Amino acid sequence: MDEQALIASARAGDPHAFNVLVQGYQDIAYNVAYRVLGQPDAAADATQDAFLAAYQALAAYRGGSFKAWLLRIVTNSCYDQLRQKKRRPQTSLEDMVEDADYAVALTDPGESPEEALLRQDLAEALEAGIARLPLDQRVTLVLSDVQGLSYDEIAEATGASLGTVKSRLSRARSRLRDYVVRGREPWTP
Amino acid sequence: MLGFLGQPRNAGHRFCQENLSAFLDGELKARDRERIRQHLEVCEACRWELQTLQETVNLVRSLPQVKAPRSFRIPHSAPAPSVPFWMRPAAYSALRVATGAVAAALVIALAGHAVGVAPSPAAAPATLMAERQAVEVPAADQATQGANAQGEPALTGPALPTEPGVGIAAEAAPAPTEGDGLAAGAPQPTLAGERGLAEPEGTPTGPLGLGGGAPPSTDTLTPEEAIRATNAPPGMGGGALPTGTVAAPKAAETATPPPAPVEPAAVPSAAAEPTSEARFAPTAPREPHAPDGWTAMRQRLGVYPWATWAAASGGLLAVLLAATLWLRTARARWP
Repeated sequence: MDEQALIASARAGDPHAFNVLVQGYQDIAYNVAYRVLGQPDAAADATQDAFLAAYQALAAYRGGSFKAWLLRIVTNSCYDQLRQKKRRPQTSLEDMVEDADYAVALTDPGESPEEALLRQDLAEALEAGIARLPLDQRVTLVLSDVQGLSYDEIAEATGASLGTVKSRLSRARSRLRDYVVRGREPWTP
Repeated sequence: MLGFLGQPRNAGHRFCQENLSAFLDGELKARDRERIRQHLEVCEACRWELQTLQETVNLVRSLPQVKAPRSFRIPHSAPAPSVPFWMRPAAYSALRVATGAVAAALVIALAGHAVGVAPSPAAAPATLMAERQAVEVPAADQATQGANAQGEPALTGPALPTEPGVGIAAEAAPAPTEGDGLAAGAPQPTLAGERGLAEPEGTPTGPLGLGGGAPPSTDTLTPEEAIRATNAPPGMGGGALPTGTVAAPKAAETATPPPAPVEPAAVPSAAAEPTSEARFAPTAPREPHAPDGWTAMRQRLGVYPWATWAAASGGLLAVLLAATLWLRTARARWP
């Protein structure tokens, strides 16, 4: 069954059809949530909320890129998670990045310990830099450079104009570059 | 002096810096791409910028995809897809219409307030004075009319009270019993007649007639007033007339205004300093001073109708605007 047929069935109230879509998109959705939030539990919560919200909102889906439509709900869910975290702060963004689950997720059994260490250091540096980006820029960077969405899809997923997407991405990359070049110094925008 | 010569290069440099990211992604038009290529040939800083940006993008793209730690399948009991009522176009239209209507009401209220059709909070003292005069003058008038009425055959006098104590003067005066004074609400002729019969003829009840209001007891009067009251001719005491229906034109003349005799009537009511409750309490229908619809509405709404109306519509407008803002945000977030 193709995607549009599954969407049509799900819109008619068939949760089985929607769960087939979930199977196809859950890694992408979780990955975006994880890169935006930097914390596995919060990312899992945001992803679950997003799929439930997407199923509810399917009646409002009017065609176009289903992936972009879904990722918009995921990013909104991430915003909600961050708002909740602000209200009930438990762990800092730094702690989120250096979470133990994160290191495990990055481990590649095929590489040498030295390579793994270097790669992990680099990945941690990148993650720390991404975590320091303003939220809008972070979301845009993740959608573009982690998920490979086009500018049009990012505009659709974030509800921003093409020009805004372009400038947000440009600033995000420049800031991240500056952070990586300067090492882990506290970065002041 | 030659600064304008550097301007095109600076503009090109700025354009290049701002668009290098999109240049990397191939998201520029052919003309803009060519402009950046030409600038890169002459600008080392922009070449460094391009190279480091490219490396940063490559690093981010090299980050591994994280696998979902579990399945995110939705439960079969999940509610079926539906569009919430607040997302339907009708909800937004209704909110807009309601906001417009309330805004119009607010404008009307403010305009009425500004034009001065109705009293404003700023004019409150003057308003209250006017209200007080409106209260006192009828009391005095009533006293006069009450005294006059005793001289009239039909004893029509002031309007009959429909409920005890509704008359402003009646409440203001320290009347121990209702209906003793004529101005206190002018007892019905039969009642007056009965009372008049019950009382011994010639009893010095002058103050009853003079008072127009309740009969001031001597202990509430000053000695001078007490003397004046007891010296008043019995004929003036309308309530003391044996029949209550018999009118002596002469007595009526005697009782008619000279300001001095009327004074005792005004004294108790003024001395008693009518409470705000008494001041604004709905009064019994008095023919000469029956409040028109506007006054009655003013009294009901509490003196400041426009201000009240403006405050109410302003509050409602704020609520509606907040709801509109929330709805716009929700619609923007709605996928």
